[in-house]
Formats: sequence, structure tokens, C-alpha cells
Amino acid sequence: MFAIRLKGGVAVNQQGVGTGLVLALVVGALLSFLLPFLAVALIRVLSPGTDVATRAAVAAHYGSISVVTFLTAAEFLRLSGVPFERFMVAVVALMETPAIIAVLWIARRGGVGSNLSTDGGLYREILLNGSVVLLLGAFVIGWIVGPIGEGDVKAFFDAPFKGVLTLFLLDMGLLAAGRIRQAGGIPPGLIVFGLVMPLLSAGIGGALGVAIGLSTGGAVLLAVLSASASYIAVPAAMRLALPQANPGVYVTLSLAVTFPFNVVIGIPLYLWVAETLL
Amino acid sequence: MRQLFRKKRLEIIVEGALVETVRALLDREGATGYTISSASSGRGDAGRWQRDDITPALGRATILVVANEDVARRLAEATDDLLTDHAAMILLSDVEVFRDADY
Repeated sequence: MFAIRLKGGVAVNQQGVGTGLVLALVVGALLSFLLPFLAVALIRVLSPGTDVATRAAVAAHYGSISVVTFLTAAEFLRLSGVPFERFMVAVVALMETPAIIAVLWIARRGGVGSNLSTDGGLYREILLNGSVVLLLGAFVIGWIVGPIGEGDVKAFFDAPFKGVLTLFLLDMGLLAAGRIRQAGGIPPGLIVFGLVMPLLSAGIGGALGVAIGLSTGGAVLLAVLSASASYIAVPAAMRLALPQANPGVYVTLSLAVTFPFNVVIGIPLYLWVAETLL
Repeated sequence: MRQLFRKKRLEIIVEGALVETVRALLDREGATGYTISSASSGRGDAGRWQRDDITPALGRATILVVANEDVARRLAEATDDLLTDHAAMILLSDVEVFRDADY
């Protein structure tokens, strides 16, 4: 993860902060903030029996993003010879948190939440959790040091990238498989949601990507970011903010349903659709 | 035989996501020391959980405090108030220690 953020920073160092980057950041943050509202509406239709807190928590996961899914998509595009804007990695960090803010608002309106929702610790967890700081830090370091500094650390971060990603995906596969056993307890409507929501989000994200002038590869990455669901940062925030929500539902949906769906079917599908239409 | 001193042992078992919040409370409320350990696995209302799950926030941790009775009670009550909406085990028990001045 550090490697790809570093590259993103180096790209901004070389190309400067252009309109394309600013537009992608704004659209990314908007998508993260607005997709939970679509998720809540979709869960209401597909699984009306879901309680307010769990519905809101699930929605937060689908507004936020999965860094591993993004990395897999970026590598898939690279291997397929599809170029994309390197600055897209900057959008990743910005899409992690607006969804949580949106859901805190949704939850407050629904009358659920924790007395800790207003605690400073929650906002520290949302805005300054380890993954956000590490990833933003890598981006800023890449931006500052540029290609010369990147060359100095390339052997450490760049060469092992594919191997580490492979091991990481295998480990994630094991964790997801462990979670699949719990999927039996999830209402079928929510499982359907875990498969339909990424398709809708990818469609919206991809279309907006094209609308703001991203390349085919860039639009596919925005589609993947929109389609992916968080399973690291958001569960922590939801345990603090929405203790009434069932983690057995939201982590399982995100990790055991949507993550493998995106990696195996979603990413190639989004690229195929983009290449067919554009 | 060396003399033993009576103290209270406070154990707080909480979700990983809440550890820092409880730690800040203990610091604020004047705990002179505590030990935090990550729990391995278990089962509760939300089903089974284990430490090596995808995020540490879903694991559990034990926070151990030994203190004089008045301090331990105050810490226990403050923790219980703080975690009103959250699952937690807050246990108080009697213990004896050798080093009275340490607690």
C-alpha cells in the first residue's frame, strides 16, 4: 500500500496539482458521502427487516473503500496494459471517511448511536486512524521526495510489491473464508445487497469518472473505489459510534461477499464495460 | 511471614475499538497504573470473535488495574457510566499485594 501511495505522490510531484486531480478528489469525497444514502434505500427494499443501526453501519462500509481491492484493480489494469492517472491513489484516502460522517448523521436521525458518538476519540479514529495516516504520509513523502527519492527506496517497496500483494490476497481469502461460515445467519436480502450495491456504485462512480474527463483506466478505478466496501477502518468507527449494529452482518457482508465479488468478477467486469462503452 | 495489604483488582474487558477511550478515562480519573492485554478469542452476544480477525477493533482487550478500594470503585463506576451503550465486563475483586506503596 505504501508503495503505490508513494508512486502517486511522485506523480503529483512531477505533474503538479492539476484540475484533473482536484476534480477527482471532489467527486471521490462526494461519492463516499452520498453512496451510503443509496445503500440505506437499497437495504430498505431488499431486506426491510434490517434494524436501523445495522442498516446504517452496512451503508457506511459501502460508502467507504477497500484499499486492497483498489490495489488489485490497479495491478490488473497495469497487467492489462490500460493506463490510468497515477494521482488516483490520492482519491483513495479521501474516500475513506466521508461515508462515516454521512452515516453518523443518518443514525442520529434514526435515533440510534452511542453516548461516545460525540467523543473526541471517535473523530480521532475516523480522521487519524493508522491506515489513513500511513497512506496519506506515503503520498506526501512521495510528493516531497519526487522521482529521485523514490529511486532510493524503490528496491525495498517496488520489487516485492507483487509478491506481497499475492500473500496479502491469500491471507484476505482465508479471513473471508472464515467469515463465510457466518454468512448463513445473514438474511438473503442482504447477501443480494452485497452483490447488487457494488454494481450500482460502480456504474455511478465510473460514469462520474468519465464525466470529469478521467481516462478509461482512471474511470475504472473510480468505479472500483465506489464499488468496494471497507472492512478495516469503518468497523472500528462503527463499534464506537453504533454499538447496536451487528458486526457479524456488516463485516461479513463487506469481507466475505463484496470483497471476493469485486476481486473475482467486479474488476474485470468494470473494465470490460468501460472498454466496450468508451 | 511478610505482611500483605488488601487491595481491589479491577478488570475491564472491552472491544478493541474502545481501549483508547477507556485508557483516557483511567488517566483522567487518576489511575496510577494499569496493564492492557489483548485477549485471544471468545464468544459473546455478538457471536464468536478472535484476535487475528480482520481488524483489531473487533477483538477484545483486558485492562487490569489494582488500586485502593475507593480509587478502584471510582474507576469502575466511571467506566460503567462511560460504556453505557457498549458491551463490557467490569469486574471488581479482592486481592492482596506485597508492595502497598505501589498502588
